[in-house]
Amino acid sequence: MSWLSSQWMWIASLAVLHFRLSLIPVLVGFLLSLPLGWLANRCGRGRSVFLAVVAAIYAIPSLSLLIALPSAIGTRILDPLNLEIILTLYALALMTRTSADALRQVDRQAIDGAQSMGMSPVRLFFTVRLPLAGPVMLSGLRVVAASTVSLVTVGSLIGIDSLGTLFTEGYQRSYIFEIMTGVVLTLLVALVLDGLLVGIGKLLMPWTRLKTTHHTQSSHLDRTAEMEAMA
Amino acid sequence: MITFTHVSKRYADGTVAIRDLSLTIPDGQLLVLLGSSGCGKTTLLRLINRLVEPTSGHISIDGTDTSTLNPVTLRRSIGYVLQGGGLLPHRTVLDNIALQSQLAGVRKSQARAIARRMMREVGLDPQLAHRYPSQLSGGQRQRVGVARALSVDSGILLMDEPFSALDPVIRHDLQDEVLRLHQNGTGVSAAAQDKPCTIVFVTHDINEALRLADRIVLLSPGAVIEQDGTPDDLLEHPANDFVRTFIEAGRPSPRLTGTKEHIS
Repeated sequence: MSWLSSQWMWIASLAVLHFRLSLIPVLVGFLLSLPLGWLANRCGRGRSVFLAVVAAIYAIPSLSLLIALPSAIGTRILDPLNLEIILTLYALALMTRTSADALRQVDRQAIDGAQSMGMSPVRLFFTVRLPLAGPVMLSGLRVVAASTVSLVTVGSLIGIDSLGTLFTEGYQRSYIFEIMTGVVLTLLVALVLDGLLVGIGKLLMPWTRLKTTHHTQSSHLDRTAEMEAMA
Repeated sequence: MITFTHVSKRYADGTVAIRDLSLTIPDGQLLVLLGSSGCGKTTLLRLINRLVEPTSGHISIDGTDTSTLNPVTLRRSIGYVLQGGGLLPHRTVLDNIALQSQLAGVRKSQARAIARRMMREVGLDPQLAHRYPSQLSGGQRQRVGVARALSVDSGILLMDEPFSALDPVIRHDLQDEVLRLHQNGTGVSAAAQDKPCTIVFVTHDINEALRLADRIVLLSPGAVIEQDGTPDDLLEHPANDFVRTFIEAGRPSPRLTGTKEHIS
């Protein structure tokens, strides 16, 4: 316990660092998944192959990438940028299929309506298709966020500080409490990021949090009217 | 005036939706395209605003070949009502209607003012303005779809089975609305509102056709015109057996309705 009270500022700074290291890959991975998902949907029969190849990136072991990447792109081995790039690739691998599916499942009626009003294809994509794909994308993004937060800890193996540092240090010192602290705080960071995403979703997509009581009520009235008409 | 000249449409899968069709729709007419599903009537309608492109032949509006126009601009000048409304689920009622004017270049505040006027025009409670489509009943959604199409100034309204999913009472109300709009004209400007608008109305329901139409074009698969005439022509002088069968299948038999005369 004295460890916690003496080291809490350092632990807190690791948590903040961890949060920041997670945020960038989630955001960049999400943004890159949009054009890739869009492209996949335009591939016709090649769609499933395209998506399978992108998803396969996730199967490459992270440690091997962490070691290989610096020599490939000329960064220093301890540069956090390596980790950011690799985690972005993983986020992209997970998110591209979701983005492609999300863009494709948008209600045909809404697209048809927008088109018939004379909306240009570009405007239709950004103001109709993209927002309506939002709810499905958000659920995918939450999975990506949780996965990224947990993957950030791997960086500690090659000396990139995060809450994972508590694992490596705790292991070296055979101090279980430090490892447990790392696990609990990693979960906490994941929960905070998830809450943040849900909050942003509610803010940007107000139509998804409607109570549809009025609707069910009026369809009940419709039914009553219909029964009266038949009688 | 809308003119189809030897129009054919074959889809990529080989289906022939329209086989060499020629048709002229004069200004101010309420024309009903009638036929069972798969006869090509919706394709015919969507050819007018270029949601579908013809394989051969020409469509012109007031003498201008529509293939020379930008399809997006063309659609902004033609009101279109879809089955189910075709509303944007992430926009409020008011914004759904206002969007039509905004696409035509009207500023947002003015577009909203127009939208409020159109809501009144189709009998929508002003309190619904800030609801989302999912919070409306089917009939209300359809009214929003009509209000949206009314904010177009060209005097042409295309309606694709707009009321077929609604219950009979609400459908009857909305049909009255269409008849009234046809007489009063549509659009925002006074000039457009003075004269009757041209309405092309697609339905598979013979009773709806008889109730609304100035003129009915009855189609069989391939958009082959089986009969082209007034509701009375169809009822009293069916052109062939196809027409006779179609009318008999759709009309309630006298035995069931007794002496009650309730249609047309």
